[in-house]
Formats: sequence, structure tokens, C-alpha cells
Amino acid sequence: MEKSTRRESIQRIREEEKRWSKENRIDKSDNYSVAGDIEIKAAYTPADLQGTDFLSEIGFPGEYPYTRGPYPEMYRHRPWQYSLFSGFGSAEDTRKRWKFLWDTGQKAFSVLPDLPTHMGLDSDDPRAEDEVGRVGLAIDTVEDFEILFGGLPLEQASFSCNEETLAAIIIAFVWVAMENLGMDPRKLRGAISNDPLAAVHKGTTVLNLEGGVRLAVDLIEFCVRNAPRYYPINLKAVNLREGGANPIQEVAYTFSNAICYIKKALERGMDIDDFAPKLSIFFASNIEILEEAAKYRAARRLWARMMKERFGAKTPKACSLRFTAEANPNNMQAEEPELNLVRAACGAIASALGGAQGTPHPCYDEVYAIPTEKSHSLALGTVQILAEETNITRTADPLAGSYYVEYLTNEIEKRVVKEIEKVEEFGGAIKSLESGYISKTILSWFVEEQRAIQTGQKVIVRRNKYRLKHGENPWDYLEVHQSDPKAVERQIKRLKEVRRRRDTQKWKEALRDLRRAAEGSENMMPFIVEAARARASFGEITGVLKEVFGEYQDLKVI
Amino acid sequence: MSKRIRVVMAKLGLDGHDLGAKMMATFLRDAGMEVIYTGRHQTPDQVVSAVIQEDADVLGVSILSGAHLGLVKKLIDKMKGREIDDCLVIVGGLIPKVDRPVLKKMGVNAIFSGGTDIEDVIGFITENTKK
Repeated sequence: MEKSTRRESIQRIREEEKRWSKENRIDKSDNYSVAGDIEIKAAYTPADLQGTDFLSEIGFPGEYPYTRGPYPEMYRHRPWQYSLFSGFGSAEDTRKRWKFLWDTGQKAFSVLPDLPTHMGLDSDDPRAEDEVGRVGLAIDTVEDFEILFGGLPLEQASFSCNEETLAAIIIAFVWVAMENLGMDPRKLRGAISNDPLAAVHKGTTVLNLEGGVRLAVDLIEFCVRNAPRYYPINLKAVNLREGGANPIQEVAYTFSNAICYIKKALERGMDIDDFAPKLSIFFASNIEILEEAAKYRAARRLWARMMKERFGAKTPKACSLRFTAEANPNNMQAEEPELNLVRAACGAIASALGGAQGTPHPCYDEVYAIPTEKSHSLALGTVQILAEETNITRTADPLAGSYYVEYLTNEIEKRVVKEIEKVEEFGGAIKSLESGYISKTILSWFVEEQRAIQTGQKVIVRRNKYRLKHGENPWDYLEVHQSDPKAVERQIKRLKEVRRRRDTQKWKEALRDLRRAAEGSENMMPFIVEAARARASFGEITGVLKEVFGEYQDLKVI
Repeated sequence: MSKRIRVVMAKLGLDGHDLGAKMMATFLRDAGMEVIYTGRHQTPDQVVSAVIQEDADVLGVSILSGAHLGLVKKLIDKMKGREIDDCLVIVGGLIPKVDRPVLKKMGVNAIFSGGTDIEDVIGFITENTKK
């Protein structure tokens, strides 16, 4: 009886919509599409949600399928974590900026390593010349972390790091540095990227993919056992987005990567309910607020279903997805860069409405410079205002029930499922990455978007519309961060000093043992920690892994 | 019938952000040029070998990490060492104004920063290819 009444009322709404559309000539107006290819109507009604069951598909925050968030009260008592990252020059430079952020209310230390560290090269490697400490922090030995952490309240904060392929070495260095500073590494909190598959999109893949995935799963296993509060993998969806992907591709390929790591962990006998709660994702929020918020709702629902139905997870923590979300730095423009404050704020609103647990917010000037203390302060202040002044935190999932947002959530989920199926048909994440399928799909979407910008169909204010008449060429006042030659010199000197002082015998043995573990099937982490204790350098440890697993060969797909 | 312009597009150094390079490669290909993309993390030696092997008319180098002065200097020196003088060298990426005359003096023919109109790049190449 109740059902048939509902059907009649939906029928009525449909008829009324037709009338309204005709009377207002809406059927004749242009169509728009969002989030890739989802065509958008002028207005949405309950008829667009026919078939969506509230209790089983939307439900309550903190309950399956977690569409509305992983926690019942979400931000009501505690907002998301402010987690801006910084990293430049040597440990001394980065520590100073960390201290500034700490004093301004950020209880998280988050670091971006320099390119040589991403690629596993020591600062004195000839290939690292010109790049040491330039776009991130140079890390060579445990000593760098001892300096970086020295005097900072690390035990009261979290430590996060953007390192995709060689995360295991970073954690080993952090482990030993904490021990040496009298702190307990088992209490470590925070998250590390540890996602060699997403590294393909940023160009930071070092080892061949199979080897990289094994190292990543070794770190997951090690942390689940030894540092239970740490998130040992924070899947880098943001790499896909910065690499040009649309939101559907971002979620689909990130989930495909997650499936790959999960399968490998299960193969070695780990229990899904033990490690799934420690998987998290680092997404990018574009400026398109509502699509992005819907994307997060869809991602959480799909994650819960995948964990429960496909992998048999039983606990709430294993089924609920936690994620960080950064306003996409790709949206930052060089023309009148102060406007990026607004663009980034839009992304952060999307992250908040979508229920993110952390916001590493970009600085308005990072498209052309290493952020100054001032630009870091503006970025941190932006997320602090959102969290503590606007009241959007006062109720969980405020967009739930919006006909449009719920419709978008459904549509995004459907499309993501389809794209994941395509990757599975290819034989999974590794095969579809190696075949170039994923790169090609993303590039063709990106090129289409760039054409729309060139023709003015997609508006970028000040770049292709509303240009300043007497504006300077933005690229003329571009300042690129110059690495301080003295810092580079100091870094190389420190590395050489460590090499000179260390016990050569112990160092040799540690690297030999690591090689043996890598050639076999043991978890490599304890051996990397031993190598770190023996003061082996980042490049030396990577060297062993490269020899055993082989180096990644970049695709030349265009 | 004129020969198609051959372009080698390279990512020089450790910077892996290749979206700009791949996008430019796609647009140049659509404009009728033959484009060979080297992939990322190329050393100056590898790039010079690619230019010789492919008998390139144009070399496009993309660097976003700020390491352009050192890397391009090495590249140009190696090109001179191998007596390559009939290949246009174009640098793209984040290149500050003060560095542009320095790169030009080294022997770079053109510099295009982000936000450049694609047509300007295509125009420059077709007007200036030396072969």
C-alpha cells in the first residue's frame, strides 16, 4: 500500500517535471556534463532517486555503508586534522618551518622529500646534482631525521611523508632516529604514501612494479604488527589527479591499486580485519565543490561494499574508509596568484563537505615557488577558518538528501565500478599500468580538457577570460626556489662524515642480510631497519633493492 | 612534398611531472609533426643519443623542478660535443625571467613557460626548423 502510494507520487513528480521543463523551455537549453561525462539537468527531484534506499545506501554516519562518514559525529567535537606539508633544503630548514606550523596550530609534521630521495639517490650521486634539496627535503641517512626531529614534540604529533616507492626506507630511518632520540617508535602516528603503483603517475617509481608492491606490503605488515597507530599506506589518488585524471578515473584506478595491495597481503596470510583499518587514501579535491563532495560519498560506499562483499571484512573499521583530501594544486594558476586562495578554499570546502579526516592544504604560490612562511600561514588559516568559524562542521554529512548530490553520488559510484571492471579485465592494476592503458585513458581525457581551455569553453578566470588589461605576464615574476649551495654542501659533507664514521663491517653485513631477505620471501623491513642502524645511506639501501628487483622502465606512451 | 618535422620530446633530470610534455607532444602530433617521446628521467647523454638516432629537427625539453640551468648547460655542451647544430632546442616548464637570457646564451632557441598558447609553439617551430 505504502509502496504503491510512493510509486504514484513519483509518477506525478515525473509528469510535473515534464510540464515545468516544457513551459520554461528547459528541454531546449544547453546540456552540461560534470565529473567526466555525467550529464546534468537543470534541477533534480525525488524521481531521480527512485530505487535509492535510505537505510541500506545512505544510512547513518559511522554505520555501514559509511556513505556519510566513518564516524557517527564526524567533525562535531573535533575537526579534520590540519596537515600541510613542507620540505626544502636540509633538515635544519624544514624543521624551522615545521616549528612555525606547530606554533600556528598544526599538530602534524608532514614532509616532502626532494627528488633524489624520491628516486633513491644519495645527495652526492652525480644524477642528483642540481636537484638536492630543491623541491623537498634531502634525506641521506638516519642522522637527517635525528636533526629534523630533534627538540620537536613528535610523540604528541603525527608524522607524515610523501614518499611513494621507498617509504619503507623512510620509516626505517624514522624508527632508528626515534630510538636514538629516546622516543618509542611503536607509538608513531601519522601516514606515509607507500604507493609505488600511484608513483607511476608522478614519475617516482623506482623499482619494477612487482618488487615495489612487495616492499609496500612488507611495510604494511611491519606497521600493523609493530606500530599499530600508524597508517602505513596512504594511497596517492592525488598523483592521478595531478597527472590529469578526472574524478571517476581517480577513484577507480586508486581502488584498483588498493585491490592489488590487498590481494598480496591476503596471499601472505594476513587477516583483512587486521590490516584494512590501516589503509587510507590521499585524494585531491578539485574546485568543483559538489562533484567532489559526491565523489567522496560514493568512494566511501563503494569501499565498504568492496571490503565486505569481496574481501569478507567483518569489522566496522575495516569497512569504513578514512582519507585525507588536498585542494588540487593543479587548479592553482599563475595569473593573479592571490586568487588561488579562493580556488584552494573551494577545494577545502569540498573536502569538508565530503568528510575528509585530514587536509594538506596547498599554498597560493606553490605553482611557481616554494611557499614562504606567509603563504603557509594563509593556507593553514584557510582550513582553520573553515573548520572553526563556518559551522559546516556542526552536523555530519550536511549534503545528504540533496536530490542532486545523492544522484551524483549514485552516478559516480556506477561509473567507478565500470572502470574498475575494465582494469580487472586487463588482469589488474600492474598489468593495466604496464600496458599503458591507464596512462592513455587519463591523457586522452586531459588533452580534451586542455582543448576546452584553449578554446575558452572551460573558463579559467584571468587566464582565458576576464584577463587583466594591463596585467604583467605572470611568468615574468616567477621565482623558482634556489637550493642554497651551502645547505647542499653541508648535506654532502654530513653524508660523507657518516660514511667515514660508521662500522664498515656492520654496514656490509647489514646490506648483505638485506639482499638475502630481498632474494627470499621474508619481510624486508627488519633488515632495512638494521641497515639504517648500521648507518647505510638511502641510496645504498635502494641500490640493493634495485639490484634484486630491477629498475622500473618508464612508459613512453603518448 | 615537404618532409614532416621530427620532434624529440624529453623529460630531462629527475622531475617526473610529464603532463605538460605529453600534452605538448600530442598537440604537435595533431599539427602534423612526427613526435618521439623519450619518457622520464633522461640524462643529458640519453637525450643527445635520442636526437641523433631520431635525426630530430626539434628537441623539446621539459623541466619543472627548477634544475634547468645546470641540466640544460650539460645538454647543450654534449650536443656541441657531438656537433649537432641543425636541431632547434626548445625549453618548457617553470623558467623564471632572469634565467631566460642565460639559457638563450647557452644556445636555447626558445623558451615557453606554462600557460603558453599552443599555436605560438607550433608557429615558432614551423618558421624556424633549420632543415
